[in-house]
Amino acid sequence: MQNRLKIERAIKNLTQDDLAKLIGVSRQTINSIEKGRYVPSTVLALKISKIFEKPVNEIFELDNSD
Amino acid sequence: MDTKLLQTLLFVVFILSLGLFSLLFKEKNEEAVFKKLKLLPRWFKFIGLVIILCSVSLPWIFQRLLVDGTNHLGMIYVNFGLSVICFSRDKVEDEMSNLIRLKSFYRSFVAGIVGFFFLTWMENRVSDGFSQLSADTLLGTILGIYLVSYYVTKSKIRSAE
Repeated sequence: MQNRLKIERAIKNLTQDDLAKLIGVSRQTINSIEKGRYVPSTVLALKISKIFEKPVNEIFELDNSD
Repeated sequence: MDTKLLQTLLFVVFILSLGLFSLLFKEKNEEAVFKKLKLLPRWFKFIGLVIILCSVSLPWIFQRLLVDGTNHLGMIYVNFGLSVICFSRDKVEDEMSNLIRLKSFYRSFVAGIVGFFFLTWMENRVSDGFSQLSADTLLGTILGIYLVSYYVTKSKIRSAE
């Protein structure tokens, strides 16, 4: 799964730590999601989309391998 | 009291305690089952560490090593300390750390089972008979592998940043 988390974070001028605190996870989790090592749950994806005020499928999109 | 009767009574008590234990972990609704793992507060890690250190160092001070594989009481203390550390929460407990926890438990459980069969087979080959692998050694191995697997995975994630 691909994501635009890093770009969206840069637009909002948020650090990984800021975003992690806003959605109640660790900074490592945000880093792992950004690098595509970890696929977040629906709840976490919805929380992220709420922070960036964008629909989930604009931030996360399926890869050809998915 | 008859030994068989005592064994049966102990077995009944064990089953009842299992039931009580499951009541402790009973969730109010089905959704809650998938939400969070029930863990001890973070400061229990320190208590676990103190228990392990005391159970290893105190007998050594008194010139009697408890953890030598034959003294089961010492191993029970060590296993208790390890369990307390295993079931204590981290600073930030989220869905990724829960996943790492579950995967580490799975790995250690599989390693424990494989180790059990391998060691039993080896004992049979070497000493031409079956000697039972003690439960405390097996439990200690499983808990140890769990802790190593959990913290190695977490440090790998941290170092990959």
